[in-house]
Amino acid sequence: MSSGWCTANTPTNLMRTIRKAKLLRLHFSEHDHYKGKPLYEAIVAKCKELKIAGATVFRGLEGYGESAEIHRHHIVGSDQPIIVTVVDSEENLQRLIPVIEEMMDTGMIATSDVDYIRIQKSAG
Amino acid sequence: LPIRIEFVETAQKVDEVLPTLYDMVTDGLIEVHDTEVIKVAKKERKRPHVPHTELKGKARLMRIYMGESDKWQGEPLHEAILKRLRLMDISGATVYRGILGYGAKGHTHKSHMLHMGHDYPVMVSVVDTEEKLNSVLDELESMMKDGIIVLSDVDVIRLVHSQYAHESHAND
Repeated sequence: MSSGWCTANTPTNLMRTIRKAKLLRLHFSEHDHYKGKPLYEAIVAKCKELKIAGATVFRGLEGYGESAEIHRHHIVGSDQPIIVTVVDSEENLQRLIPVIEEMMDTGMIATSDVDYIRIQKSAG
Repeated sequence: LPIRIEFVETAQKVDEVLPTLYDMVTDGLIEVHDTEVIKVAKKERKRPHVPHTELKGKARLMRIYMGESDKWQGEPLHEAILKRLRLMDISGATVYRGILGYGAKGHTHKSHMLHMGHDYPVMVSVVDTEEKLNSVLDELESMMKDGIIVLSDVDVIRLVHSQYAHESHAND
């Protein structure tokens, strides 16, 4: 019996390229808007426009920050914390950060060094 | 009613008991197979739970980005990855679902109110030692079609296992 769940069919010829990159995290509130649009949507659109490799938006359950106001879900109008993560080269993030600073009123921008592996097997 | 008695033991133990069984079974069948033990789970409560790896101080954080609709052998990829990580004795993993994003596949992950087949971004985060995480990279890469794996250095401040937590409560 083959124990297929024990080991995936690992191709041994997999060439792994681990690259150095930067991880950017933006923390703000779901309430924040930019030109009438939710700020996180505006930021993702801006990232695409600037040809940033990728961006992901997460919604937290509860949090507080600069304004010392607790962000949480309310029955009327939720104000939960939002985290946007972006992984790209340092140069690309240096291009992006000033633009985002301009868009954000309050919030936090943090970067860290990371190693990353890009996986792309499907065509197109 | 047919009766079948099965047991799993070391080859030596089986050899020891085999002559006795041979004598006892006058009508029936005795089979011996090689078997591979994958997991031994005991319901014993007395002994403290042995933590996977002693994690303290320097460790690595791995973030795995994928789409919610990604599949591996018909199963949601993030679930398959979680199971795999558990099997490989990784100390813990958390799955996050994003609300918006784009990345490797170039398409926007977004909720569509009218479509059932939405594809939210999903991120699995894992904290363990560098060696442990390196040992699962091959498996993860072979399971994923598109996506990225991001690794960074972290400091582990505290790791509490639920078993210990119960004990310390009992001692309070």
